[in-house]
Amino acid sequence: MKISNLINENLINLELDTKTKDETLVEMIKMIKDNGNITSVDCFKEDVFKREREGTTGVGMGLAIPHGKSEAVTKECFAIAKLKEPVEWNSLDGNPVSFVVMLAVPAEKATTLHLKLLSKLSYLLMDDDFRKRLMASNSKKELIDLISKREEE
Amino acid sequence: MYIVCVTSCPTGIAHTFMAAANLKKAGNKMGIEIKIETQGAGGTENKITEDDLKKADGVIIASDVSINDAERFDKLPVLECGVSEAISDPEGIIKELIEGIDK
Repeated sequence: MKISNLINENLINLELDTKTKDETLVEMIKMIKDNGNITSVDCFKEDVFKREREGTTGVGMGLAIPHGKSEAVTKECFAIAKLKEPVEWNSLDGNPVSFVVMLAVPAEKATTLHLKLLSKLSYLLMDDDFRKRLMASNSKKELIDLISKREEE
Repeated sequence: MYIVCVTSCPTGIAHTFMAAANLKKAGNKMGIEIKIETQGAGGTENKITEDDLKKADGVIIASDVSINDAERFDKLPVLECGVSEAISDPEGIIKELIEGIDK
């Protein structure tokens, strides 16, 4: 089991056209619903928005990592969106966000291994070189390959 | 100089590990040996040992929730901060701890 097993091309949008943070979150939640990882858009949305209210997920450098721990999640995954236009996210460094990685975490009975993989992804995203490459990528396949290669290092 | 850190956050998946990554990166850059225990959703990893505590000059607790076993740091200089601060300004936090120790 690898980090790259928790994403597929249906969970990637390379030119998401949204104007606000909330709109971006909703579009990504729909993507996760369409891929069959959550049972309800509304329920997962509530948990993702709850997390946003607890503190910003815009961690700076143009990156946001919104996430929800939710009963709606039946299968752990993450989704990636590159935004056509950067949106305001109240980030730690004040800059707008252009690259979003959303994590879907089950409320209970989560497989520890899967949680560790998502945690490792968060860790790896702080690697400047790796993050820049991901953010510069214009191919879904390449994005998955980059993650796959990096986790093997 | 040897610093031990604990990171933790409400969900225990994202911020805990981003803070750990950035503290580690800052420590390496500043030439300071640093060990980070993560208290995440998947449990405690890279646990700070008795030997670590004997060797440690100071402690950073970067967390938005109360951490497990905080009392083991009672005899050491401790700097507490929010987990986001450790993501955005890890060097600043390490410097602040060191200044506190030197006094």
